[in-house]
Amino acid sequence: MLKNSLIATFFLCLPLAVIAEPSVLKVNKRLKLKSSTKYIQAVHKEIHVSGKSPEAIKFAILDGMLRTKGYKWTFEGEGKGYILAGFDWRGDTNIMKIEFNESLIQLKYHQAWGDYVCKNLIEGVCYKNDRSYYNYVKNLRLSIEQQISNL
Amino acid sequence: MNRYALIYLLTLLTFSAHTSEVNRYEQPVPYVNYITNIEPVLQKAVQYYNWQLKTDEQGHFLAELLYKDNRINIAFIDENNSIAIKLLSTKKENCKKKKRCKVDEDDLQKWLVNLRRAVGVEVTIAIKKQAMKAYLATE
Repeated sequence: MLKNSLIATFFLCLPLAVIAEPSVLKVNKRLKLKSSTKYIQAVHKEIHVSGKSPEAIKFAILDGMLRTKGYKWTFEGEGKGYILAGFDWRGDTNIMKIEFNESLIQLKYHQAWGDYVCKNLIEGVCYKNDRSYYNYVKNLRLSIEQQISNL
Repeated sequence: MNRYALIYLLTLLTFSAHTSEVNRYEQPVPYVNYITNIEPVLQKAVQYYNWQLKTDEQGHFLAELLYKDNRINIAFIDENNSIAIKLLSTKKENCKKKKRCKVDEDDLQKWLVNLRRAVGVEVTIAIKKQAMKAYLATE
């Protein structure tokens, strides 16, 4: 009985484990509820980090959060292979999950309140949201990319 | 009968959903195990928006904001490797008309969220310094 429960738990958790990894972004252009592909890529496109140590990647992410153009993102937690970054602006809140491994970094939608709540979320990629979501998070992604190139 | 039970359950669920809502400023700022002394972090954070850091007799950290006759007092709750803001009191000073004797709720939320954000920025800076040390140690 216990063995069966453990096996069931393992298989239930498996998709989550797969989702938690950063991957090369493939935008599904056939979706009806969708913002511009350009916007989606500006936020969710992977950043290549091959050859960098996990310590270097973590430092670049935190540095990128603090150096984001116009607004600093704050640490909201972490786990194996990801850092949560938060953004508060005029009563709206957005929390991004910045996933990383030895070759990629990818920003994924985690949670939001107010205007930034995602209207079409598929495996961490927000396909439909307010335009300001894409503008603000784009700056975070650019900043992290910049810090990676500065390493 | 079943219909009444369903309405009752839906009412209960709606009520519990509303009561479980937490204000953004109340959400703890995690610092995991990167910070051993939180005082310098709070000392810098309160300065962003002109709060004053204080301590009570037990050594707990408090903060006070006095802005345009609004006096706001909060406590910093340091537990589970995170810092949370707890609102203690609000007061509008020097008010003569009863209608204007309450602190504006929107302003209050803004000031408290700004304070939480300031703590978040200082915590992030402290964590970044640790990450930089770890990175340089591997170079």
